[in-house]
Amino acid sequence: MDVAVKDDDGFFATFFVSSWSPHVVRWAAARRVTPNQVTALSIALAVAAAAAFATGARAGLLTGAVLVQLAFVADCVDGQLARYTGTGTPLGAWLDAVSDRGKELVVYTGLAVGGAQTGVADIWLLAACAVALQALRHQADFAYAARRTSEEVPDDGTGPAARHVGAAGVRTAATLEGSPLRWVKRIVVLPIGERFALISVTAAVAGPRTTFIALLAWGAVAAVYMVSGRVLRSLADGGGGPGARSAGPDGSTSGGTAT
Amino acid sequence: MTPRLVSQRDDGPLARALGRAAPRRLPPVPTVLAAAVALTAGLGVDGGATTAASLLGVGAFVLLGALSARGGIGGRLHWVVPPLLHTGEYATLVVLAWRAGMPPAAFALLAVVASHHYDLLYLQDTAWAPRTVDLLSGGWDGRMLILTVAAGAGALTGTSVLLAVWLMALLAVSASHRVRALARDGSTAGGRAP
Repeated sequence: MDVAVKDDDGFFATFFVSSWSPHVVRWAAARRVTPNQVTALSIALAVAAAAAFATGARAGLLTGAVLVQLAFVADCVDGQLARYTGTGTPLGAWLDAVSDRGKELVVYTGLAVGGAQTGVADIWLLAACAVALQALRHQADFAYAARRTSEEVPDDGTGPAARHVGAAGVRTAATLEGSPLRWVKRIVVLPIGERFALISVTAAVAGPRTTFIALLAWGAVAAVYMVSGRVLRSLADGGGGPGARSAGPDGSTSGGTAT
Repeated sequence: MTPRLVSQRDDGPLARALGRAAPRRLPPVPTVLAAAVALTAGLGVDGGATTAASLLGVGAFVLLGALSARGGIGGRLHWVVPPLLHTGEYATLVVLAWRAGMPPAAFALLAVVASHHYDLLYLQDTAWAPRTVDLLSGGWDGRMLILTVAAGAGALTGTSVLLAVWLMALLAVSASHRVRALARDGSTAGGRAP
């Protein structure tokens, strides 16, 4: 079960979900629930959350906040279930990634509709900026990961050296595991668990306008932190290959799909 | 620029043609930064000359952005180019929509364009070459020019709706291709990355 839980998840996913979700995973596995069924449940919960947010009413915001959290738990469980039962497929992985983006967009839309219903100022502008910033942060993650082709990894004797550096990088990451600084760095970049937690708390306590402003403010800090760190890292890389596939400034690998 | 980065650019037919016609290799990062400056200046003009300035700024962004596709594959900072091109597209859409009273249709279009870009990212392990559906999307360049002209003509809302519906149809085609391909060669168990 330990290997079914991803070790590069965010702080929220690791401590607030994966600390107890294995029980759910075992329960689901015993009842032959498939990962794609859990993905579908997660989508349904996110749509329900968006519908609740779209009412704009106090009770709707509270209900939506709870449903978003349930959707996130289901989102964590589907992957863990797939790894636990060995039923993961490339199609399932693709569906999972696509549904994550769809869920997030539908939640943002629900919040914006609810805000518009209750006459919140500039709500569509704030929602549009939040969607744009989040999409651009993901794009920067993928672009950074794609900045080298595998053909470019030098094979003139530095190949093994590159592998050695890679291994050292892994060890460094392992020794940092659990250190407070590492978790701070992972939280700063606002991964999906933290985003959904931020949405729930701000929507329940204040309202959609505060939610979007909080997403924009934290997202902007995360973008500046990530991009500046990676620009410096790119420049320090020189033209060579070693270290090219090592961790980003957040200490996690740069594929970005987990965020 | 690596092939993977080129596929992330989402160049439309116009940008591809301009890029091919470029006389020589320009350094991509300074070129795209110059494009961003031109766009900021063009969109910053608010008043009597708004439409002309927007068109000039967007035109300069499209031209320079298209030329930033050249420049070899070794650049250390080339990875900043595709996100900057899309920042230009999103910023243009938001500014033009804001001037037109921020219709919800503009939010819808932004969400669909972002989904189109996600589609390109998630397709990447198999599809680096531009596909017909990608070219039919118009690219960041085509959509920026269409929206700027539409905003100048006071037709931003209707154009946003049409573009959003068109892109959603393309997304559906792309997704169905993807599902079929994955279902075909996905019978073996593989990793699953939530």
